[in-house]
This record gives sequence, structure tokens and C-alpha cells, in this order.
Amino acid sequence: MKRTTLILIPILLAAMLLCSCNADAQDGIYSAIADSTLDSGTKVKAYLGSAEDSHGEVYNYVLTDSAVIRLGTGSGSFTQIQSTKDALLDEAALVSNGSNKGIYVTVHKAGSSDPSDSRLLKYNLEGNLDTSFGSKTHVKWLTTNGMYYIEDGSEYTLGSVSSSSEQTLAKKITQVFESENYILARFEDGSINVYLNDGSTPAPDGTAGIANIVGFQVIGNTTLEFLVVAKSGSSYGIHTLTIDGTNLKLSSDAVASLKSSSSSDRIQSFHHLTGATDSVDHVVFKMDNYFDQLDIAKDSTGEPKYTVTTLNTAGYASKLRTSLVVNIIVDDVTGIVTIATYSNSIWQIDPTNNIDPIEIK
Amino acid sequence: MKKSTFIIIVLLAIAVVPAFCAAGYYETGDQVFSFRAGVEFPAFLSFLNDPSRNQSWGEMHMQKVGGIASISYQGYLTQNLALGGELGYQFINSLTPSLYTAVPITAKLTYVPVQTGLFDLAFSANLGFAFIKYGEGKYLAPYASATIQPSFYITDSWGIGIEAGVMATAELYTKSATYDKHRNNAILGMVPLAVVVSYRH
Repeated sequence: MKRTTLILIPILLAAMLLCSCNADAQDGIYSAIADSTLDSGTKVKAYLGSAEDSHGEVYNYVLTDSAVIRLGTGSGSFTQIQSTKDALLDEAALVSNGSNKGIYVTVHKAGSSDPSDSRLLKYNLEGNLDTSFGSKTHVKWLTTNGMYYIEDGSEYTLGSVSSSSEQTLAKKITQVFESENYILARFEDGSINVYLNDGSTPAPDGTAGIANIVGFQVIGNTTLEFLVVAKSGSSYGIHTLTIDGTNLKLSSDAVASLKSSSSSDRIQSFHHLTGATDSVDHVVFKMDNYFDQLDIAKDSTGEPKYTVTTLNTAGYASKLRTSLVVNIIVDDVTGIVTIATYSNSIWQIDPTNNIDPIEIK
Repeated sequence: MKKSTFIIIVLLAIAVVPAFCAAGYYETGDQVFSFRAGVEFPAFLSFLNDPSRNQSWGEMHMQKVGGIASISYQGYLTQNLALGGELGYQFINSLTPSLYTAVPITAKLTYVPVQTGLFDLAFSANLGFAFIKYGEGKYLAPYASATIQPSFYITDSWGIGIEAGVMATAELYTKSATYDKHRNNAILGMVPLAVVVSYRH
């Protein structure tokens, strides 16, 4: 063997080793370290929203891994709603105004598999149990925007804590996603439907569904329109979901695909416009290590044009890049977006600029 | 300056200065095994394509100190020059619960201008790769270091020394069709301070 061949072989092997080891290392280890955020010590399961208490002071309500806590600088008293052995906290929702104002929580008994031990309870905004509400049993889940689901034998009930309405469903719900005031329910036969969190149904007939849903986002400023993210292999396809008469219409093909990856079975997202006069819709998806943004513009013929980019701007896209986001709530009036992270606190952002997010304390 | 410090400096000078005049100790073919353990301090993190994100000592999102350990083997090519390899392990905590680790595998070239048999002063350069890991991220990174190491030999074979210098690991990406990974191109610099136990033969 020639000497040059002997030299080239180890160089080639080293190059192959380098390429194979780095094939999936696209997220930037040092970038992740530089953008890492200090552990806040509090494990947040969900930011519930803000509400004015009986003294007229505004507080933020948060579900942690052990309690519902209240954040704010007011002087009013609050009793934390603690997890106990007989009532381990699962989910929570806040109704900030109206006659049903209060904090709703689902609890279950430690070690019990009896569905009657899974209950829905109501507390007032000072953290005291509202005994007049009683409790509902066989509760499977409660969304942050206030929809609950009861499964009692073959009876399936979907209810709303804000309107007190309940409706009987013909099919069992196997999966639920929420976005702003809407939920997307996936049924046991694979079909899907959307509901407003007052219990009403924009599309009473539902539609044929799609497998492996991992994300749901309401968009549409004048007409009701949604996006559904479905995972296929390592790809995250974005589908449109529109209302055609009384039916939901799901695009069979993805209109775009996300660029980054997610190890979660639930991708958090929010929708915003760049400015008051901007007609381009932006939907931002939180992936494992990046925020991916979908821009929906209109082309010259008026057809929507979908573009996905990975945000590498300063501000929240950098500061919260590697944080595990548990839920996102958008203020309908101010457009301010609240992003709750599991271990890196809760942040308010203005998505239209690149300034650093503000921590809620 | 304290009296004890002054005495130590004088004693060191007495031991070291003659070395610059002495004949060489090592011969071609001599071998040295070394075991190193100590601490490392994060010194800088430089983003090559985005300097606004650079972080230096005190502002890096890492704990102030981590740990290092390694084993190395070298053979003398000439009286002053030894060539060999080193396998190491480095770790340091970040702000998150994730641990940053690196396993450098390098070629090591050492120049020993001062060698008395009792005292060595060695300058080393390492070049190779390091398997780095942080959270779910893994990367095979180019690695280089430059260190200085004074050693005293307690017996003919066994010596102990202190090593300090700078170690650099780079994360370099080509431009991607899906994402501009150039923004992540970075060099991490660490300062090691370690005790080195050597066995020569």
C-alpha cells in the first residue's frame, strides 16, 4: 500500500467519525449553556392568569407541583391551596370575572384508582374552599381555560366552569389540547372537534381526524381558523383547520413543517400580529431548544403563503430558548404574552419586539 | 512579603536555577506516565459569529469551578521533546441541573527545557478531539490546550507537579439549509489547575 494511502485512510476515518458523531448535534451546546436560565426553585405546572380579588388588587395565580399560589404585591390575604394526601392537585383553572369567579382544581386521592376519588373543587380568589360548589367526581381533566371532562362508565360529559354548562358526548375523549379560549378534543374513533370554553361548539359535526397531534393553535382574526401540528416520524407538519358551514375542514397535507425538534408530546404556541396594521399572522411554537415561527402572509393572488423560520433574535427567543415551557397565555386586550416555564419562572413578553422578557414575581 | 514565603522562593531558586546550566537528564526512548487531577475554571465563551453573546469569567452561565482528571503516556523523541497521548475527563455544572462534560482524546507534545533529574519544567501542547455532552446535546469537538508544568522528582521514578494553562474546545458548524447554525459557532476556554503525579522509566 502506498504511503499516501496509509495517510489518507486515518484522515478519512477521522472525518467520518466527526461527521457521524455530529450529525444530530445541531442545537449548539455552548449556545444552550450561554442561554441557560437559573432554576427558580419553584416547579410551575401552569400559569392560570390574573384576577382582581375582593379588595380590588390584581394578582397572578400559578399552579405549582404542590400548590396553587398567588403572586403579587397587594396586601390582601391568601391561603395557598396545598396538595394533600387525600387531594393531590392535578390541574387548575382561573375564572377571573363573572358569577363563577374563582379557582377550580382537579384532585385525586393518593394511591386510589377509584374514579370517584377524582374530583373538581372550587376555591374563592382568597384560597378558601367554596363549599356551595360541592364537588364533581369522575373528573378526567380540567384545562387551564376552564373546560372539564367527566367519564362515568359509558357517560361522557364536557363542562365549562365559566358558564356552568355541561353537554353529554356520544364518544369518549382520548386527547385534549387548548389554545386561548378553545379546546381541541380528539375522540376514541380518531375524529376531532373544537369547543369554545363557554361550552359552545363552533362546528357541531366534528371531522375526520389526524393521528399524532402534538399542537393546536387558534388563529384567524375575523374568521375562526385553527392550526393543528401533527408529528410524522421526525417531521412536525402544520395543518389548517377551518369551519366549512357546520363542519370542520382539516387540510389533508401539511401547509408547512416546523424546523426544530421537540421531545414533548405537546408543543406550546401563541399567535400574534407584528403591529396594528400588519396583516401577517405569526404563530410561534416552542420547541426543545428554539422558538419556531410560522408566518402566514397573502401572496399576489390572495392565497395564504406559509413560511417557517427558527427565531434567533434577542429577547424571549434567546432568554427562554432552552426552558421547558408548560403553558402560554395571551392577553386579548394588551397582546402581552405570558410564558410559564417549569423551572425557570414565569415571564411576560411583548412578541412584537426583541426586548428581554419581564419576570412575574 | 512574609518571611516564610521568602524562604520558600529562595529554596526553589536554589533548586531550579542550576537546572538551566545542567546537562539534560532524559534520553531518546525514555517514557513518562502521568496521572492528573484537579479543578478547572471557566474563563471565556466566545461566539465567533455573534460576539454580542460572548461571556467571560464571572458572567458565564456555569458554576465557578469544575473538575478534571486525565492519564497520559509519552515517549522522548529527543532529549527535550516528548510525544504521546492523553485521555481526560472534565465536568462542570451549568445554571440548570444539566452537567457539562468533556472527554478529550489528544496527542500531547511536551518540551522540557529544564531537566535536572530532580526538577523538570515542561511546556505541553495537546491537540485532538473531545466528546462533549450537555443535556441531550452531544458533539465531537476539536480540542487544544497549552500548559506549563513544574515537577519535582521525589525518587528516581516518581515525581509530583502542578499544571496550569488554558484548554479550548470549539463547536463549529457549517451553514445549514434549515437553520443558520453559524450563530452557534463558539469556543469555550477553561483554565486548569491540577496536581500531576508522574512515573518515568
